[in-house]
Amino acid sequence: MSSINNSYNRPNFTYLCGRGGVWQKSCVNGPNPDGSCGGVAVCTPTQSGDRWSCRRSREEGGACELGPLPNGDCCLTQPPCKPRRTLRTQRFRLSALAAIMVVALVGTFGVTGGVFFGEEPPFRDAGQLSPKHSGVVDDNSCSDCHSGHGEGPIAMVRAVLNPTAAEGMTGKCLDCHTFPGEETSVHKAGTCNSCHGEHKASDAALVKFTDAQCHSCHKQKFTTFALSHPEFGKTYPHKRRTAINFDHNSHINKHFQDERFAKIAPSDGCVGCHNVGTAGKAVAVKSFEENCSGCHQEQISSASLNLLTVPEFEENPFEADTVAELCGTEESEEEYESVSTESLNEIIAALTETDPENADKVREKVGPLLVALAESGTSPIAELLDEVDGQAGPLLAGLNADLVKAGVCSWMANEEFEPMDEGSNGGWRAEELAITYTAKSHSDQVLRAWYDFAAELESDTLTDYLLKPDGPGTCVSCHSVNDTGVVEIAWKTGSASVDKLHKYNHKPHLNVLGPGSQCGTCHKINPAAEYPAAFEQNDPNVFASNFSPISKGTCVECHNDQTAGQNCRTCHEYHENAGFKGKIPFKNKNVLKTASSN
Amino acid sequence: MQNMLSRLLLPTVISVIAFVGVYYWQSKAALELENPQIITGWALGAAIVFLLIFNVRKRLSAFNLGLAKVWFALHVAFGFLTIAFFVIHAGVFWPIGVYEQLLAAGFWLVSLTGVFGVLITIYFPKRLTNTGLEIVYENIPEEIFSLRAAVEDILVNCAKECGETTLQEHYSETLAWYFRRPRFYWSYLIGSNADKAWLTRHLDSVRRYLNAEEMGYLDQIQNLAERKSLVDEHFARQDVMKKWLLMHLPLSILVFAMSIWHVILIYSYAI
Repeated sequence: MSSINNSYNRPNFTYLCGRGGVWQKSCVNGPNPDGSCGGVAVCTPTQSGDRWSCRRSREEGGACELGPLPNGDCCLTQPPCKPRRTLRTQRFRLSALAAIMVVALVGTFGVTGGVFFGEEPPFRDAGQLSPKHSGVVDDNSCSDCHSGHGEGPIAMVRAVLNPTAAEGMTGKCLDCHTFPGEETSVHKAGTCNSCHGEHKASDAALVKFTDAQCHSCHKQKFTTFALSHPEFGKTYPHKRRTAINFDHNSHINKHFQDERFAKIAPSDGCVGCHNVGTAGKAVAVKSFEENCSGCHQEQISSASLNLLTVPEFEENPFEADTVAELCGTEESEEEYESVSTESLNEIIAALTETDPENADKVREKVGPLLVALAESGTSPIAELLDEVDGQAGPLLAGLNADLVKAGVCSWMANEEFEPMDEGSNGGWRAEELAITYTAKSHSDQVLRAWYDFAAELESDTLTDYLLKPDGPGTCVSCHSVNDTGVVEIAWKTGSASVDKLHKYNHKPHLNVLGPGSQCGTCHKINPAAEYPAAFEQNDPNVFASNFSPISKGTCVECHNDQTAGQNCRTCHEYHENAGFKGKIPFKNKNVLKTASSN
Repeated sequence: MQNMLSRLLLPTVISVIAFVGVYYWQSKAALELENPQIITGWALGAAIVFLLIFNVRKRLSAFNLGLAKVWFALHVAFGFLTIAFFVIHAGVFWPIGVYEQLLAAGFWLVSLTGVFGVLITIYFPKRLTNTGLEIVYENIPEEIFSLRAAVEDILVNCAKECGETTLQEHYSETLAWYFRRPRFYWSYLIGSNADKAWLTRHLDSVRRYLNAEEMGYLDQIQNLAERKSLVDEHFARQDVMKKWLLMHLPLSILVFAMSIWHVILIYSYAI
């Protein structure tokens, strides 16, 4: 539509005269509002009475000579043009098209993508997962991590006002990841995605944590590790004594130098005992059989566990009829004089709560016990163990009931039992006046069960008998007994590091320094340390390390501006003891793998 | 140019302050293990909405919503601020994920067309002023029609007065093409003189065949051709100044609409 009085085509009109589009003069009438040509006739004559008057404008030459036709039509006509849309209208149409296209595409590929593209709409694809997670999460399994996935468009819009996705996602993370001790940790993490970013197609992007983020909370700030990190602790890297009482100083500097052990002593330094092939936070110690058995194997079988020793009875505690009935033994005509001169052993004394010095009590408690053993084999002892929450299964594993009956019958007849062998193979054995157990090898499960039982029971009698260096199997001569409120035997090697949030990996360091040859770069034996003294008591936190503490300067030799990295996370973890729940199924490899803690 | 720069000064200062503020805020949030992208995302969203309001303001010319030149300066400065927000929000030039890539492509296209628009808005008017001619874009077809009509009148008069058709024949073979519509569109945009060379060649080529009287008519035609050249330059430059918005505005709407779905997705899946 054009102005009537001038040919200026206003840009806010919907249509422009089509003649202008072909570089002709636009007509004064301009297009009609519906987009049709309004300029077929030059003017629209007006009627005054019975007379029609020409209305052609002055710009067009004024009233024409011929004037309107008799029926009132203009006498001057021209072919119609094809009006064109103004740029403004075109912009509006393109903008509307863009908006509609987005709505249509989002509707097709985003909200209702399942119609055309299976379950997971491509317009929700946030990017490729990291290799670590893509090996576990199935393709198109958004709901594995996003609890709100698939709840529909209305719920999605509501989420903008009340977002809960991060909390839901954290819950999903915890389906696999575990953080024992997180509640008491100094780092009480909020939602996982505060620090961990996914859909970046790389493992490195999973954790983007800067030193500045550490320093935003930690009061003790420093510029770089090399320049101003605080000095390590006085006992670094040890927080407590080692699990195994192994004195590096005496072994390396004394025993291994002894000519008598020259052939069996390790000859190639640290790697003779430590397995560098599996080095991680710790460099694992090789097995007892590889490291220790050459000198200490016989020590294991040198002391047996005494389950039951027949004590000396001042009077015969057994009825003749009972003995005859249970054991088929005739009553002796001789005056009773106990064949045993032994005291009641510690285990039975502890289980029956009997003072070995109290003869009456011994007779009262042990007499019936022996009768019951002759009658039922091992079950009376199992019942005694059960009364103090002892697990008879592992504690009496392999103990033959007939052997017990045979031995007990001999003792009820006031005779010594005649052992069937010399007991060189180890295991349970009925001896002349006792039932004993001798460890067959290192890692003997029966002895271990008895030690754990003694530690848990906390009976002074049992503790004094078992938890001592020369106890059965001499286990405690090497395995430390740790009393931290709960008494435990340290069956596994290793020692706790200074801090749970501290991490260290020996492997890359070994690769740099050279395995076996350069351990002493960091680990320097301290000959003056009173290492063995720490094992004379049970507090693991009271200790003296075999090695001099490692100073910051040792690390700074490499971890500085020039050589190796020195950011906080090189050595420190955020989470304590992060791990996984059980076995994680890796879909791509079609196997179950145990995901190790980081 | 000087006026433009002075008008941009305050909006630029405001933008820099806004950017520094948002950057500090999001850095602090990142240090405190909060999600900084919520801050940068909403800052980006607010900036995009402000840029879109500029188009609304142009439609509300009846209301006193401030001077258009001030709005334009704010639009330019906040446009660059929006690019800065996008960079710290997305973290990378090209994100991962189909939808985010489409969104980023749309954003960068809008930014590119926006920067292009700013450059031509600053540069082209100056070049048009240098022509010494003022003409409204919508009147250019009529102006060309008038020039063509004037040239054809001259040719008719020439034939009547001189009794020769040399000039008419030459016109119908060469100059008619030139006067039919705007020519040398890209030549004007890149600032070359292809139009002048063409005119000189075709006017001089006929001059030696004309007598003195015809030469006078040719001079009149040359004057009109030179005016046509100026009109053509106006057409080319004004056409670009009008039509770049055909990309910039629809793309802006596209990015805005896509951003809404992006916000919904983020809140549904990650926040």
